[in-house]
Amino acid sequence: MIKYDYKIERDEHDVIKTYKPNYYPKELDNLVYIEGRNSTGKSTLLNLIAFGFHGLFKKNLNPILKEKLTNFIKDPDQRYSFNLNITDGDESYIINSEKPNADKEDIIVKKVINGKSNILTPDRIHRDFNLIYDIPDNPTDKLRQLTFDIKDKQTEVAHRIGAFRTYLIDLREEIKKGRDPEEIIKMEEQIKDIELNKYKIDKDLDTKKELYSLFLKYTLFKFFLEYSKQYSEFNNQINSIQKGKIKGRHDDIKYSHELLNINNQIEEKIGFLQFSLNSAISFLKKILPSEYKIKISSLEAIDVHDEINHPEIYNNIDLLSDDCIRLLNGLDNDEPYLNKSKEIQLLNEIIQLLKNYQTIDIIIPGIERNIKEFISILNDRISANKEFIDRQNCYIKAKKCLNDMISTKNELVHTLIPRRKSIVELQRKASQTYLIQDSAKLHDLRKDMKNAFEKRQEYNTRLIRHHLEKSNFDFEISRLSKEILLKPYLNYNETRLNEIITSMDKEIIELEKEKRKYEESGKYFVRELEELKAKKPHKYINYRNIIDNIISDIQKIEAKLNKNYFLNIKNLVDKTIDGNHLLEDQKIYYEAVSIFLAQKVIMIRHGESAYKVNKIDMIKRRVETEGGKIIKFDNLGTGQGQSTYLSGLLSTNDNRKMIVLFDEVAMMDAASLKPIFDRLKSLYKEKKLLCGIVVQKANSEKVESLI
Amino acid sequence: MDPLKQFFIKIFPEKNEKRIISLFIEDLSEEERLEKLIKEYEKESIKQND
Repeated sequence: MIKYDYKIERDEHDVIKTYKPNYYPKELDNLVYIEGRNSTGKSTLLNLIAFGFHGLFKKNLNPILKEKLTNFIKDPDQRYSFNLNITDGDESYIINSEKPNADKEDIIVKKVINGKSNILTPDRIHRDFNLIYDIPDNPTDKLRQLTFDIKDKQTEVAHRIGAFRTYLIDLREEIKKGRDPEEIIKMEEQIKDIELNKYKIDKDLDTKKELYSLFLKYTLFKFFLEYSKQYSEFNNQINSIQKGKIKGRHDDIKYSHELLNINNQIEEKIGFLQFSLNSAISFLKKILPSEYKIKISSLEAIDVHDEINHPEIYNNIDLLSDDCIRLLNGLDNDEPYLNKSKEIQLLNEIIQLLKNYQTIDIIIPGIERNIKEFISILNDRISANKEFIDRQNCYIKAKKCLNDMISTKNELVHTLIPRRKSIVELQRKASQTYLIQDSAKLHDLRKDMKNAFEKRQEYNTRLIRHHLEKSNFDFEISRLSKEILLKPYLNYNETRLNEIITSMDKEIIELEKEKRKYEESGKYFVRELEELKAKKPHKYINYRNIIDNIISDIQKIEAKLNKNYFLNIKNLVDKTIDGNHLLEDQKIYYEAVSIFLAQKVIMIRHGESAYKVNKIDMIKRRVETEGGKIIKFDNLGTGQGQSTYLSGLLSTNDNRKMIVLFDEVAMMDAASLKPIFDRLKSLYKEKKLLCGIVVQKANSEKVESLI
Repeated sequence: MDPLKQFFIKIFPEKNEKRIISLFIEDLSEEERLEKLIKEYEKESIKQND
């Protein structure tokens, strides 16, 4: 039973009009056919039932109806309220839907069972009830809409498969977390492998470390020692040079003094030589006869400096002096001169003797004079020979001067000048020692020493770092040189040896890293194994492989649904299929669609007869009947087309109870309506229909129960 | 048979696909689907071993 009531107030601007159900009974059977004139409330009734079942929340609602419903509720000039009660055919429950307040949009839907009501949400309603509300206009296009079921179902199935795949993947993870005998065996084998690998690395590490240790010791000892020696050697050389420089400086100073001294001596001697020469010339001029004037001229021509500085060229002093001395010796060697000389000598000696006694007052016998008087007489005698005495003095002095010239020149040429040369040379050498000669070498040595020092420090640091004791280097190097492992490398240079050390060091670090990795993963697996052994096995543990296979299989199905089949149905709905270029699987797919539509429609009227439908081919736009008849869509009458479409709509096979509302079936004659009515009756009997209302425009109002 | 179910069976004609897709047309729980599939796969495995 359908009980309903409504009130609609519409502001028609000249008047506010109220509409109520005046033309049709407020109580109807669950399945009715209504005819009536325009504006008698037929469509209003259908709209209210659609509202009552939250029709605007339904997917794929006919767009014309959806717009009509939307306009109805959003019309600002309209206020409405309604109450609807539909009792199920076997009276087991009542659906009560009402909009009690005309100013509020709320629609409350309740399911009442034995007086107890539960509110139904829109979502719940559409889960429990299948609202079919349609206007069968443009029937061939409507047929295409029947494929929406396929589209919706495909989407639903794809979602279900996706959810199931996720469920299986999670399940597989859960199984993994549970106790798994195979996993235990696998893990035990992994642990064994890890242990074995660790053992191999340990062995390898021992060998490499031993070799590394030998290499390191040998290299560090060898080059620490070598650079220590180099450093010491360079240091000694520098010290030695520095000492030499100090001595050189001292020598330089000493030789400067000596040079000054000898220069003074030479100057003095030269002066004396010049003086002797001048004196000799002066004396000789006094005593030499005129025929010897040439000799004096020769003496006057002597250049003392030439004689001294170039004795190999100038030797006049020696020759002329000798010559003059011989000449003088010949001149003072005649008898009268010698006698006179002896006389004066005697007189002088007597005077000297008498002077010792002159204070004694005695008279010398024979001459009768006292001593003083006698001395005076002797002096007078000597004075009488003054000229001779003067000449004799000149002789003596001239000879002395000439001899002095020879000896002085000899001293200068053979002693003082060579000595000065020698001192000059010594001083030059001493100056060079500390000024120029070793500076460059010293610089290089210092550089080398710095380098040796730095290298020594470097090796020292490395020795400390590696805790190697710095003693007995020679012994240790000798011992290490005998090691068989080191033999092939003993001739390697420093760079090569250090390269090998670096490379071995890296290798050891890498191996240790690898060892640590194995240790860590070993610990991890042991821990995991313990945990795994402590776990309970998962209920699906023995079905892991099957689950893996299922995942793999459903992924293939999912891919087909989401890619190929999704496109297939979309193209069909959008009418973008080129029927002449279908792939084999597309042909299969569209064949299945044709059969599906035929199963939905079941029977079709054409002309006077009804036919069982085998296929409805939406691409070729034709119907194939059981007897092999082919009816093109274009040849189907509108009413027949509508009938075919509505039949299709009623062929849903889900478990939801149906609410069927067909409006404006005006194009359909009694023959076309018959299969629809039959189908509705059948659904009602099968308790698959809660209510069904078919509305037709007519010249008068009529309500016909179809139950 | 439900036309939709028939439709899916037709577009997945391969035996294994057919038995899988059938389970997704029906409204079943994941565990029910899994149990059914396990049985099917086990049967298949026994057949293959025989």
